[in-house]
Amino acid sequence: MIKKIAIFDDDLDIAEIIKTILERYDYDTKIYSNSKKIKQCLKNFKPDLILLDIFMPGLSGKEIAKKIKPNKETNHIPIIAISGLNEISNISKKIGADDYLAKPFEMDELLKIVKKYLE
Amino acid sequence: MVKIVTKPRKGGDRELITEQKKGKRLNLKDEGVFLSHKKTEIINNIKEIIKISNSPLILIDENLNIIATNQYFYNTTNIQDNIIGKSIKSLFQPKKINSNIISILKKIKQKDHHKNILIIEDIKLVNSHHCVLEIIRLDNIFLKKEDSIILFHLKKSNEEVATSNEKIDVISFLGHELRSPLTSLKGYNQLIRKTFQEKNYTDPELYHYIDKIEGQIDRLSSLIEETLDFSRIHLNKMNLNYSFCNFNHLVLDLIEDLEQTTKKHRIILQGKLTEKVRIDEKRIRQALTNLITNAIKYSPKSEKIIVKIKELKNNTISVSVQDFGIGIPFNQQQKIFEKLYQFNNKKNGLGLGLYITKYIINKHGGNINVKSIKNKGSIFTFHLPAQPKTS
Repeated sequence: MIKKIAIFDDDLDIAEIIKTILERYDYDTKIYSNSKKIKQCLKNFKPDLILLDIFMPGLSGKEIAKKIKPNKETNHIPIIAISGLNEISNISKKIGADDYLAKPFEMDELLKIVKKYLE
Repeated sequence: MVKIVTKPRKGGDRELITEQKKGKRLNLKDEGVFLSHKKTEIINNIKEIIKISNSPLILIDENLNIIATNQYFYNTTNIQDNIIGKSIKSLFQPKKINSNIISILKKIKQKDHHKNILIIEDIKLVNSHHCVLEIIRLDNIFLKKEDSIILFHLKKSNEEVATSNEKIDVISFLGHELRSPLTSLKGYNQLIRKTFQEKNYTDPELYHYIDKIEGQIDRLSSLIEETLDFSRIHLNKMNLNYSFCNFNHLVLDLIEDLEQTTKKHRIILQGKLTEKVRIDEKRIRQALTNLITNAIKYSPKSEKIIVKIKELKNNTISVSVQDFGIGIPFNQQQKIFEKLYQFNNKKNGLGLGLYITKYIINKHGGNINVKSIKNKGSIFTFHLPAQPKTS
């Protein structure tokens, strides 16, 4: 079955390249440029994994994680935090993300981390 | 902050006194000649210290004319004209300040004046820059107080330091922001390669261009990383994440990676450590990468690079990187660790690599040095505490 990945990023250049790469490897993806759309995403798109830019308009990374992790129906969805900040490894732990990708990342790194959580 | 030794070192004392005794034994008739010779010698030594000091310093003679300064003075004050030979008065404005300085000079030269540093908290330079001025009297047993040597030390005012921190903050923000378009560039370039491969395009020219773009993306990436490290160092925000690490694995892994970047060189590892060391693995890897890539870059005609690791007695490890390349002239060997220093005037980087490397090693409580002979090669060696006390 095709796995679904939600891309939360307000930088459309980044979001699109991530989408293009993932779709080439047969993932179904959807871009959300405002984190307030998380409810809608969980309800309608039902992602198997979330790629989350930790700084974007709307809710903070922590608030998003809070909407996903305590809920039994959604707490299995891995959250991968994405950022150009150096402190990303610490921040991702703090907000409750499962893993992180530090910018600038390679295509293979993206695919590797996605595979790690989806296969 | 400059450290001025106002009293001569013990050894130095002994040496000078012995010379003075010698002088007496030789029945030097004119003590004045001896002292003036001594003064010239001391002034020459101070000139040398000013040259290598990394604080903005000015040395003046008894007529208040400037006889020595250094690049840091020009960098700090943004004054561009050569100031050597000019009166110290020509540096400041308005005139009132100058009379203030003259009275301070008189004061500090007074025999019974106990302080040898007087500070003017805010002083305006001719180019309207504000700075803090320290007027320092260097005492020496061979000099009478009224003959004392006077040094001017200019420091950025607190306000200036704050503005410069703000600038660095902007650089840091910019650096982080640049990582995003860089990620896009990388991604699209890799996609182009994949697409060509999948469509069975075999024209080597196409792949050559993709390689070129990739090389430039990597260069841009390392420039951004160096800029970010520089801002981190400046704002004192480079924190180390210590963990126990198998150093042998780290070095072998790194050598394997770096051998991919060179067609010509073999990187040979000698020695190994028996125990794990506690370091910031990422940062030490960065420092070592820097030394090995420099070794590759500056030894285009030789094939061998030797990396030696060993344990020393006092819970210290020693790591050296040796190349057989163009070497570094003696007078440049310390300068290469300075920020923004361009070795050989080659402008293919920011001149921050060795500055950052040194900072990383020092931050671990270690030290780094270089031995080099022109056209024979260089050995960079650093020592690190295997288990530092601080974390």
